[in-house]
Amino acid sequence: MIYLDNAATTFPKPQIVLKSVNEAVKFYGGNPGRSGHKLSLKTSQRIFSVRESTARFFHAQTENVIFTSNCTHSLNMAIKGAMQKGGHIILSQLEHNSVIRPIVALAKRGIIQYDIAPVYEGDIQQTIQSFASFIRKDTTAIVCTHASNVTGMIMPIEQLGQLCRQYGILFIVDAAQTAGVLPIDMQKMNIDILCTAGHKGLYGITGTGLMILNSNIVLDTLIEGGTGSVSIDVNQPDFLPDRYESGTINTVGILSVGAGISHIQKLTLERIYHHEFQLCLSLYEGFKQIPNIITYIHHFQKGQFVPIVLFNIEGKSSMEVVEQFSQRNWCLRGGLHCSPLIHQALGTADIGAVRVSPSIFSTQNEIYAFLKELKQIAKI
Amino acid sequence: MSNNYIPMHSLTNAYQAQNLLQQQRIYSKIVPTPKELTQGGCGYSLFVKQNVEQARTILQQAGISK
Repeated sequence: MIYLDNAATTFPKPQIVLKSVNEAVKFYGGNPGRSGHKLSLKTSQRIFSVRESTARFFHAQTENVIFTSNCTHSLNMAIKGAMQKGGHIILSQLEHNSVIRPIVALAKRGIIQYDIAPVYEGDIQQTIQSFASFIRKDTTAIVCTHASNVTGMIMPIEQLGQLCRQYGILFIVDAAQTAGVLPIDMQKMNIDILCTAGHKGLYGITGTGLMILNSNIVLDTLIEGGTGSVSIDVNQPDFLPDRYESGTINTVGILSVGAGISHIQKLTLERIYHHEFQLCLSLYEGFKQIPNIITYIHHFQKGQFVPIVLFNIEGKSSMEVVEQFSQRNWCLRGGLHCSPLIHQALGTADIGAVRVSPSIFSTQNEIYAFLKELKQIAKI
Repeated sequence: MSNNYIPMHSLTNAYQAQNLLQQQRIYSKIVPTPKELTQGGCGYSLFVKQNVEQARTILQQAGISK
């Protein structure tokens, strides 16, 4: 089986991550922050270490790193936490349903209004202007993906961050496709809230996510409950990370994310991006030799795209193609990738598209083999 | 003896405080806050055997402590 669906979740995981999962279950089984006994404190210490290393990785403060169950959870906390009292929010046309759906839900309840900013491949100025054109007096936040999970297009986050600073608008970034692939410096990029998955580019196990806050942002809480702190007080704590981490946290998952970050740092983001980008470039080059392949970007350039390739075979639906590959033991994703707006813009809302997304473990030989299979399938 | 305890907002806070004190060569242990010191029903404190007043000052200056 050859797995090329790493934009959904990375597989396999590095050995260090497997080891951390095993160790977490064997040695760190206490409930962190819930007692004073040795096992609880030992587990708490490990969690704190991961919180620290995660904060350093994203240039944030330790206590502002909030562990969640996935990126969708993080985005819901961020968007609903910021917009519960109303206002206007701007999102891009690249957004995933984890951004669109909470916004639409709030709008349907009459709480907020929103606008969708078109984006322009290869034209940063026009993209920024697109967002700026929707800013109004009651604009509370801009939420934007760092890179599309469909086309791979990288958004000008630093410039958008500056725009938000200029207007005093909260800046929420969905880094599901870029954490562990591109450098993210929350300070430099003026990101107020960073949301990401732990199980994609960070190579943690599924069931993990991060919401990282910059400075003194206070969000309305989505969930209130036990935090192991100030139990006599029936009000949710106002200090971090407790305010946003009610209930028992996912120790095994969190330790796996810590191990994943450690692994990425050894490899370096530069090498990871270069390796995966080259594989994708090789795919795009290979498409040129196969008739009836439709692609959806103009120019696959380093720095403009994360390692995601989107294509279709003329005359076939994406699900049909993915099924044919699956029968040959390939793991790809077809359909709309939970991102309907960009598929509508691309004209692929009916048939979807096939997405290929390599990881650090993918090889050039696998790409050559993929192209060979694709030639066969395209002829059928 | 209860003077040797420095109550913390949260466990994360406690670890941050411990690290900060360690940099100043003041060693501490994270423990559940003793009953006589806790107003919140549960919580964690740093137990500092030596130089506790210096520790308090350091943490207050850093904005880490209740």
